[in-house]
Amino acid sequence: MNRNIVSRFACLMLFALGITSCKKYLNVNSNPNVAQDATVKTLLPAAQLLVGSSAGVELQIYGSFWAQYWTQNPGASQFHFLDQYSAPQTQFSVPWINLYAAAENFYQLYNLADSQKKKQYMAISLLMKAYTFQVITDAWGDVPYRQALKGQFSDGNVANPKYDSQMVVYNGIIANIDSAFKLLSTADPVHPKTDDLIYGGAMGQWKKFGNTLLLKIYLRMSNINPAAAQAGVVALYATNPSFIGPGDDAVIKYGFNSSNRNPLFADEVGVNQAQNLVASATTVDSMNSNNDPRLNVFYEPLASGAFVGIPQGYYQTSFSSGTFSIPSVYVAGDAGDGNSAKAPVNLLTSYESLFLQAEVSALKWANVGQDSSLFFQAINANFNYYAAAIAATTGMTVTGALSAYLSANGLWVRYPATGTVTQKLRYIITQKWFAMCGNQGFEAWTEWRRTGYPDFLVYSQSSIIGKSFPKRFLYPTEESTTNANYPGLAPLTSKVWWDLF
Amino acid sequence: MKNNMKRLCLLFVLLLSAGIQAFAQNTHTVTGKITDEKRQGYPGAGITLKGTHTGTVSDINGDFMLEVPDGSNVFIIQAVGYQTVEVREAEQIVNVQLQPKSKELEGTVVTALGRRGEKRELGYNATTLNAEDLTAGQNTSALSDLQGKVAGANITSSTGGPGGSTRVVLRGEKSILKDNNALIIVDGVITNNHDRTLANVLEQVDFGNSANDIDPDEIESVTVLEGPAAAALYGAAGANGAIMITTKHGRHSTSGKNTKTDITYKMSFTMSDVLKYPEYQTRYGQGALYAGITDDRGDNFSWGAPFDNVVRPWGQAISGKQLVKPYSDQANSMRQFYDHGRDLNNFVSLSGGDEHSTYFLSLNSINSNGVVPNTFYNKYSVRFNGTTQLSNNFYSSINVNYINSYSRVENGGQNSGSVMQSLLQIPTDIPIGQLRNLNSKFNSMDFIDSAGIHRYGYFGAFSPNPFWAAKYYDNRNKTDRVLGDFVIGYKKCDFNVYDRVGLDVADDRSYYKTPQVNVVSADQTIYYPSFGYNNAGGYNQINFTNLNFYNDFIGTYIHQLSQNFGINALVGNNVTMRHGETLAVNIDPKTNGLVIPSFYNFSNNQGPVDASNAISDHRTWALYADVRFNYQREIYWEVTGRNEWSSTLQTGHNSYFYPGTNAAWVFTERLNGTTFKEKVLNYGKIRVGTAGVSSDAIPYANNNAGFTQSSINSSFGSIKPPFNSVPAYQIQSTFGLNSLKPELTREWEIGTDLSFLRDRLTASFTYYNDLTHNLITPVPLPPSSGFLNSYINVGDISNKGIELSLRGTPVATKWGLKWDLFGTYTHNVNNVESLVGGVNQISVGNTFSGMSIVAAVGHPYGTFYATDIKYWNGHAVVDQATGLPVPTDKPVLRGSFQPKFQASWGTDLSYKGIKLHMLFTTKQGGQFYDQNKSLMDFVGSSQETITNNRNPYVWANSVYQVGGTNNYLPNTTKFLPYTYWTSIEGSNVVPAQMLVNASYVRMQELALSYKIPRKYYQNTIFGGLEAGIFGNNLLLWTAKSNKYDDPEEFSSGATGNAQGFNFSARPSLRNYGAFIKVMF
Repeated sequence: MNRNIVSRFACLMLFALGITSCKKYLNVNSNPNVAQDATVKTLLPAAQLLVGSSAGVELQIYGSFWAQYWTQNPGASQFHFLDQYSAPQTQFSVPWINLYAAAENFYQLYNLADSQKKKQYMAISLLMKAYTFQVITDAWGDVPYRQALKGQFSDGNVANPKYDSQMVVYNGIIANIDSAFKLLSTADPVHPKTDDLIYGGAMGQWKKFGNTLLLKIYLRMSNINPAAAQAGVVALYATNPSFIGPGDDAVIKYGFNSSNRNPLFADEVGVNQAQNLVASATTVDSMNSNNDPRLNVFYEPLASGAFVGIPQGYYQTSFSSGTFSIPSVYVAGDAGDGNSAKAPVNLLTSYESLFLQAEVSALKWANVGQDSSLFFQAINANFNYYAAAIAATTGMTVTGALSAYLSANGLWVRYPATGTVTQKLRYIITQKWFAMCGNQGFEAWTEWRRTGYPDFLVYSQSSIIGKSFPKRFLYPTEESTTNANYPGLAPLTSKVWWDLF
Repeated sequence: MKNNMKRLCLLFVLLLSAGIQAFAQNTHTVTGKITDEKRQGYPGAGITLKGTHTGTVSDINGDFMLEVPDGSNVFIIQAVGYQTVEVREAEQIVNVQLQPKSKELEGTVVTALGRRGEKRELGYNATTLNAEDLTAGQNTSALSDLQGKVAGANITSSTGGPGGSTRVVLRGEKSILKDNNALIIVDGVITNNHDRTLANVLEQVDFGNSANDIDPDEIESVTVLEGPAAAALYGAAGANGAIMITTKHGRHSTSGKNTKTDITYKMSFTMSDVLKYPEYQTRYGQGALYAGITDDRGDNFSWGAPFDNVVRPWGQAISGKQLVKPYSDQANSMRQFYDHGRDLNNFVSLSGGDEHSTYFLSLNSINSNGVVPNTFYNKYSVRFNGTTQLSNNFYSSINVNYINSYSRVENGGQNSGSVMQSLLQIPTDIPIGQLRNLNSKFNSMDFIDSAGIHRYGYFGAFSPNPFWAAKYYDNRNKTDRVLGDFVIGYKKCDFNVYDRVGLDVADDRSYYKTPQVNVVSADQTIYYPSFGYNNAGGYNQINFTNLNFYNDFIGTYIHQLSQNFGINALVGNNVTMRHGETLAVNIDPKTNGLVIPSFYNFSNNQGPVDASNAISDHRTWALYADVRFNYQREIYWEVTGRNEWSSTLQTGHNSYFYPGTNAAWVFTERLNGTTFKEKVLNYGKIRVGTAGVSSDAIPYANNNAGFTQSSINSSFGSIKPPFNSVPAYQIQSTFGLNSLKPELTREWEIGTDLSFLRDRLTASFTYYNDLTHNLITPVPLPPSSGFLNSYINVGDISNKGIELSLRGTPVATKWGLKWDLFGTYTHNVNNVESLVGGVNQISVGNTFSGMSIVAAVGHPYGTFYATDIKYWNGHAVVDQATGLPVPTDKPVLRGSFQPKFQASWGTDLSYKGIKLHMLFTTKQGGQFYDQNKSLMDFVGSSQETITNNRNPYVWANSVYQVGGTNNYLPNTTKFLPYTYWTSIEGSNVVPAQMLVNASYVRMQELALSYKIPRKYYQNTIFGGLEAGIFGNNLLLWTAKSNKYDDPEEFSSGATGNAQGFNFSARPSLRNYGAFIKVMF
């Protein structure tokens, strides 16, 4: 008697019940609740939205607190941990999970596009994966890279990806961008369209994105490895690159619908529109002293028209509501105003691009025109980017607002065209910091970590670790409790690789 | 596998040869009927030919038929709870009426597949409870009724109130992935046990689990088969042991054709109160002194000045008016929030029958109001059981149970509108009772002022009025369920062939209403933040349809082969189909919202309505055989085998065999006639058994990652594409190994049942040892792998333990006084033996606030894993500058939710119809993670926050680290307690500090009842009268350090595995009441 006979006997019983085939009877284990395949057109927006969510919510909030644009409303405690410099690991779980999920989906997109010979999708996925990994490593330092994203059995089931040094990650993403450029140069009849939420499939703009991203990557290495950074910049400029300029900004635009609203606003709705985010005096005082019209763009004025910030981390209710400013709808910071839903999430902007070029020029690493000119172009680009907001809040044109700003008795617009590199850098990065107020908070905090500018940030009054600043994100518990190769906790105050400041 | 098939084959051969031998006898047939004290047919009585070991068991009508050698024979009749009778055969007929007697270890028992057998046959441990023992505490849940009565069972009743969740785990957790609850079997058919709870760790709405649908009053007896040995014939479903429920059946009297119908009516009324309230500090009230704030009237902090009893205004100033009260402790005013729960339980049953047919019909209703305002639980059920014997040897039976329940419960966890969260955020000086009137502007969450602005007047700025939350967050569940089984059989002499169809069909709908609110504070001064309460309002409906279908085709053969040797064989085939469909439609307040407030309809949506569906199909078929041999009613040997094919595993891995064998030796048979047996040990049995039980995967676990429509989630927000009509699909975060193997539990057990001094002292002892291999589990992956979970065969878990039951009768007088003492002791050692692939541990549920509940190698299942305060050689390590403790670099393992041991002890005192029953239970040595403690520490209401009068002090026995060296020096820096409780412990920086000792002693049941003797109403219509008072879950003693919650409350639902976790779960209840029972 062998198994077949037993099996057939069992089968007979099924016949008695009107079930026609044993195989068919048991063949019900293909999950009907998920799609078995995706298309490149559905993976690309999903991955871009995941990046947009991290960049727009946690990176924006944490960066804007630690770059001292924003502080916690003393009337509540949601983000008090950021001002206390005592963040539990769990507060870093969501951005870590979302950024790695984004990278995984870019990786899946690359493989799918590769198998279908869709080279432009391959290129975009490589560029976005590089962007994503730079954010990951700039936030957390050493992170899984070479062995990352390969969890599936078909990819080798790497369940405990090893942590790579930040330098390895940087070299990897530079190589990614180079590979993307090779794919971009290929004529390809299949273009992404509306499914590319950033450029709508405009490959020329993706090329500019890649160039600007490379510039950002090399300059980040300017202190830790100046030789390599300079060599990279020189090689880049040798290709006669075009960079992101006004109109090329890499942003995701959001709208009023629950399905397309700004993720920071969605997050605020998630806590019942509590106004946790308020203006920090560090930024507001400084902008006030410069008569910066962008105060109107980045913050809501008081009834008096004045802008008032709370000292960073000041956690006492002697400031009552109505006596301090809150971030504006243009940076999705006004939780109670539905217009916050429309704010875009900035990934790589024209003003960022111009500030990077100004820095290259100041360093004299490449012959790219006047650094002072690029410096003012960058400020101009920032005003331009917020032209509509300036018009709506002040009634001024960009030209009017800019000339008012430049002619005002402000310190930070008097660019030391003949000064030292250090003096110039102080102006470039400080102006970059003004420009990124609440709209590229993570990048501003990151550049402060690299350069020490602006040099007037203060210790949070709530700091429970005394006179130190946070210098990195903590590895989340999802990583420390599951990865056998987890290297141990790096404290909040420990520096990442390129941070020599 | 081929070997296994050979063994199966051998069984068939044995069966055939047994049949051939039967013709060699020189015999005649004796028929008869066994009836109980009410002269109703008694099923399952054991009938033995005296002096031999020939025997059989009476059928459902009490009838039996036995081949015996020619001559005049004497029979011994035995039945559980009845005296043993000897009768002589008269004209080939034996009719016996049984007389009740005290409990003992002999009698009949219901085992796998609903077979009745004699308890002495069993080579494994099984506990049988009759209706009276089961329902002594009058709990509305049959599962909670088992508490303290079954050695080897770990029973957790979350609330103790009607409709709450109850979890029953037998002999320890064996699976990381799957439900570890015991299989619930009603009249031989598997029933579905699913959580109606909306439970992720953050949000719970606990509608209970469906196993609690069965009404305890309908139950005749419950047999708990603790080990897999006992349940091997149920296949994968029986891997966790089984609870076999036998419902009441009709019986017909044997006295003539005029059959009498028995009518029973029972009514009970129960009151409920919260059993344990958190213990508050009583010295400081509302405020945040240490943040420099003296007047903090909107705050949830009790970090204010010491009480001075001075009358001061509090709460919002509305139109210039403000309430006043003394600034003093409110003495745990949380009590003022809860009502007395009330529960009215009505039960009526009719039973009767004639020679050919029986019927039983019962109607049951439970109408109850919960302790939280506006909550209720109503259940109506109907049961019909009928049997009929046709003239041509065919018979059939029907059991049908229809259940309708309708309940409303409050929000728990971190849900907006969580009642417990709101309560815990009320400072210690606020009189909660005064918040009840929602028409008062000072309590209102939404009123319109003279300028037309919507405002709230409630004092709290951070969490809503709990009375308002309880009223407007409206969660309801409606269930219609039919379960039953239908049998058609043919029985002739030794052969019985039948087909049984089992059905469990449920339509389960849950409705969740979230009120729309958009208000600012009435008091626009600096005391209230500029933001108010905003919620777009929402409506969520989840329909769950479940169909479980079972078909068993079974043949049995019972034959006495010779004077000494008998065989009882069964072969069968089973087909199982389980189909579930969930359809969820949601207007999510966070991504969508209501247009018109308070209009809960899916047309009332601001954005696209979110709809999702999930289908689950699980199918198996199986062949099985069970052969029992007996020798001289002294030695019993059983061999079982089952081969199962499952849909959830790949071909090649989806066929698995379960072997099992067990033996019992009633060694006191060797002592027949001795004084020792007569006077000392009247019954003794040694048993030994072993079995293997395989278990398949859940549906789709072995699938590759598919693609799902994205849901882009930030910390608190969510965006659901299509995004500007661009659809977005992302890869699933979970996938499985295609070639998953079945889980396999191998168990052996050895035990003994002893009865001394003519049953005055009985004891049952079992040692078991089981090992589960190839556990199928979604292993959490580091997110850097690109995924969050993968299903693999991950490792082995062992459970070893002892089960001990004792019962003694120190006093039993001739004039009717009887005193019984009884108890159980359970000790289970659970250990995760090994995990594959370099994995040290696996999370068994969601991580919350940095706390994971894990299965870690070398530790028990359900060990807590979290960051704790750092220790160096037993000293707490603090920061030299601040004096505050430093967290560990990596999470650490700290204790588990598994109790070290469980015990129960009880007593019954009876005298002429009066009975006093008392039962205590205890669990010792486990821990639970109490998020309520964290919240109380944060807001400053827990007692530990007033250490040293809240002045700075030096952390006890602390050291600080010198630089980065391994050098530590004693610390003298004082820390500010406020900073520690609010920013470190209360902010979950060291989640391991939230673990609380879960040990307890509980007065589980206390009941006094009186059966009025018949002589007082002999000539009336009444056939019996009984009344009593009762209580269950009456008193609780917890560890001294547990000043928070009943450790049995849980937030993960009954079928979730992340137990030992309380995040604002429903409070457990003390129940007490009275009942009256009338029989006609």
